[in-house]
Amino acid sequence: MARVIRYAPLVLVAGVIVVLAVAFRYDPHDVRSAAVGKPAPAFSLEALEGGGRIDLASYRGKVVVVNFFASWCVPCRQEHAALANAWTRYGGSGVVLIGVLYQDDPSSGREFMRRLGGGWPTAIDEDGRVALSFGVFGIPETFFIGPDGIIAGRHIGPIDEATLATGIDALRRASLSPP
Amino acid sequence: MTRTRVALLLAVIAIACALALAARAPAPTNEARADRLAEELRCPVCQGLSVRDSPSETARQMRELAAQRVAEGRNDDQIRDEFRASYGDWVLLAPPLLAWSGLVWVVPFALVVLGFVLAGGLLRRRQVSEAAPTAAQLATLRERVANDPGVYE
Amino acid sequence: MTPLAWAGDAGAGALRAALPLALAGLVAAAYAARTRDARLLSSARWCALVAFALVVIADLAMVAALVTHDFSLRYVADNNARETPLFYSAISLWAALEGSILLWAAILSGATAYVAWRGTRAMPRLATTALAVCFAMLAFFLALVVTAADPFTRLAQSEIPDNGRGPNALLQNHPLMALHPPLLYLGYVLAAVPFAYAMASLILGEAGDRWLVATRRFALVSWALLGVGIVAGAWWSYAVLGWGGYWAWDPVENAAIMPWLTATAYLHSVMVEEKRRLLRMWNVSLVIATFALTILGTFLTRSGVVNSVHAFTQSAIGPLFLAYLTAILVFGIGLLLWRARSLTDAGTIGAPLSREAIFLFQNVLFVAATLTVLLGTLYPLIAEALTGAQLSIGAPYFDRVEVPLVLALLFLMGIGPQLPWHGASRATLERQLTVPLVCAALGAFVALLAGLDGVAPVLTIALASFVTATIGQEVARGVRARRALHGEQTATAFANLFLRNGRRYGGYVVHLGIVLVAIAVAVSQAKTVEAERTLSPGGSLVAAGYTITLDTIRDVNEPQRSLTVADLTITGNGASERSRPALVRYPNTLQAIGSPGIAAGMRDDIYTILVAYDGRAQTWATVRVRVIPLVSWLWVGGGVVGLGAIISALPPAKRRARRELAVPVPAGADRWPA
Repeated sequence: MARVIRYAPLVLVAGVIVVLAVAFRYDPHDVRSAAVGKPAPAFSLEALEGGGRIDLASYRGKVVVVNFFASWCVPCRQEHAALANAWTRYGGSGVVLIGVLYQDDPSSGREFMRRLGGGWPTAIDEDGRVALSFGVFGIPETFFIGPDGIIAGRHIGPIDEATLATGIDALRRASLSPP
Repeated sequence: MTRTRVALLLAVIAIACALALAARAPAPTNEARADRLAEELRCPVCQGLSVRDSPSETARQMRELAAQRVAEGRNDDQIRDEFRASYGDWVLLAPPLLAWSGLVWVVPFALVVLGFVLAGGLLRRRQVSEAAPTAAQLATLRERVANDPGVYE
Repeated sequence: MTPLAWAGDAGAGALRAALPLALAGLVAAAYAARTRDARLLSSARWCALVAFALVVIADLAMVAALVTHDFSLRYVADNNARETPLFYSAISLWAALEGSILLWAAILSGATAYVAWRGTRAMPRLATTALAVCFAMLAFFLALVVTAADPFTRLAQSEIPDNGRGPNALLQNHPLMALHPPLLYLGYVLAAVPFAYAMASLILGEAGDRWLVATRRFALVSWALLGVGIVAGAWWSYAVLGWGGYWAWDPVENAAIMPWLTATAYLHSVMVEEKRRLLRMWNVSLVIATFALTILGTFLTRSGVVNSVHAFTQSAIGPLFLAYLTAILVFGIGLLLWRARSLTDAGTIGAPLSREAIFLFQNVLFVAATLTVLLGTLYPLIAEALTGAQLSIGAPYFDRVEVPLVLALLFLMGIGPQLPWHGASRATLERQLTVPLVCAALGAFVALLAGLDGVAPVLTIALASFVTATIGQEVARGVRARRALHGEQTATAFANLFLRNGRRYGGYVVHLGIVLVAIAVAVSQAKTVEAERTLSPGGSLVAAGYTITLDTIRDVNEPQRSLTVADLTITGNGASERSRPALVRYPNTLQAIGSPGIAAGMRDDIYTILVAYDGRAQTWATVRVRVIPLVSWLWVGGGVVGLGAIISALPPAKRRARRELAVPVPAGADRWPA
């Protein structure tokens, strides 16, 4: 017993050092999304440009990319061109891009879209509920939803064209090939 | 019973009464429940602050959601689960007791108990030491004197 | 060209010259301790002094480069801008990783020089061995600042910016930045001295406790600086971070509190060793633990393995610090186990109702509290490494687990000083505890009447009254004794208690400071009232009886930043104050930083935050108000703790005149050959 007690601190100290050494492999800022792998939360939001609502359910069967953004967010401005290019490239082929304006004034959002261009459906998340249901950490944040309505992936921070293409292509391939 | 004892006893009873009064929790209002939930949720855009403490917009929206769910009559677990579904266990600032991660709650109390058991051992060994010193103790003392000119010379 | 462009080179050169000196000093001191060669000791002394001077030159060179905005240095370009005010430029020495390690090296080299010149006079052999340990530690830090954390790295000519990025916005927002980090670093670094002496004592196989007597004051001063530094840090985070709290159980806060907890345990258990020569192995363990925890804290906040408010940017320094920590633990624990036999206690504590037994229980609680903080801080890392799960451990965990431990410690803090060494009879104890327990009951009811609810806050007030009453009783007894023995007047007797027995009565002052802190924390946590509302100019909101009115919203431009300020008037409860919360924008930070307006008072602090405002027409502003009772007493309590530590550390009045050593060294013992 006495020997066990004497060596317990050694074990404790060794354990702490091993944990710290292993911890270098992880980035504490990299929090995985709990929403990925689950059905995307349903939403029906007012369209930014007016004229009705945007309902996620109505895009069932298509590959959907949901992008949370705001006009005050500098990285959102950086990634806008990548989104616009993806929209031009995939927009006609069963892929939908939905912009969700988050924590922003609708008029600023409209001005942002008008100045930078982009013709994809954009909705207003007035009280942030949709962002909370998706588990948004900070904008810009982009979610990839398969034709089965399951969230397949998430990207935090400004997204580039290659990442968008990889995500979309993977989902399209999966939906084309038989299960 | 001496006067000192009576005073001591009365003081202890009075403290116990005061604590019992303090513990009498009023039925929690909706507002108090929402505050309590907000205290247990981690703000996603801050550094380890709770949703209750954070002045950020995201935290405000989470507080509103929690308050609305409380008003709708959901229980605390349902509300926590809603946040966990989107943010994972990460969003809880303390892991639930009844999960493998609840081990973290047990360890501190185990430490205190173990510590007092060991300390109790130190107190109990008295009988031994009050008898004549053992041969081993004498040897230690001699060695100490021999090795330490700085103090004993 | 900046006016002092050569400063960077001078600093870099000084550090590169100091490193070989530290290594030479290490060798000289080690040989001097072995051979008792006075000339070798003399060279070690000069190595320490010159190294100290060189590191101070390097620190001054960095300050010079910062205040002259020499952006050819990477550190200056990253942490300074032309607009940065002189004061913040100068204290940017510790605003980032490399500079803070430079400051650390300066303090450590100062401590090394002190051991070399003062320490070795009293106990040449022990102190010379300790000096070798100090040199080894100094060499590590100097190696860091000339390699992985070189603060004097020059940028290539083409990379030199016209203007630097400026300091981190949070670090140029409040003058407390000048105070909090240096205090903390001083506390951290001075913990190295007791460690060095303890190691020296083990290396030499000394069975006595001279190391402990020699470093008693160092341990006390290090502990006090750490404690005051922690309170200053809490104050800084209260005044700067803008959420209305002072403690969030952030890893960096945990890193600072852990060595403070073990050091507190040590300051008490050390008395058991002095009085009864018990717990000797335990005390060495606490010294090793305290020092290792200071390094662990530095590692945690500088390696990027945990998410923290002020985690410094990630760098290659993490693995180096981990290696250093491992080396210290292997060295310390290895020596301890090697010498374990000579540290065996000859007796045991015995009576559970004795002062030494209370110290023992108190140590158990302090160590449990430390290990709990350590576990909570590392648990997310452990969970992720073992299962891949990501979870958080924050205030709801720490509050629930630590508060019962703190309450138990408060109780012991009242009882301990009442009990004599070797044990007391129950009758004595009962007599002594009657008045304090009656005071505790009164305190509990006063707390209830004042509207406090919940067991923990009310019990905190009861225990605070209990402790205060025991201290009052002790001081009263001391004054009576002095009046009877020395025929002194009450006031003289009172003053003399603190002057002539500072260690004991200074300790009581520290306890009073802790009581203030406990009351402030309990009440401010339990009774904070909060309100948030969007107001138009002229509009107002009410919180806890105070009316807060928005007068104007206006923009202010300063050279280094721009602000949007909400002018508020606070009335009610007899108060009439103005408060100016603001959102501050720095050119190097994307998001605006909230700068709270604090109307501080003895009773309530009214903490106002500008959450949002109408950026176009300035027609509305969202204001969040927290009315936080008694929080000012937290800072006062920190000051009282510091004051008590000063009283404790001063040499007793009658001996001060002679300036003699506390430890008489018998002739012939531990002397160098003439």
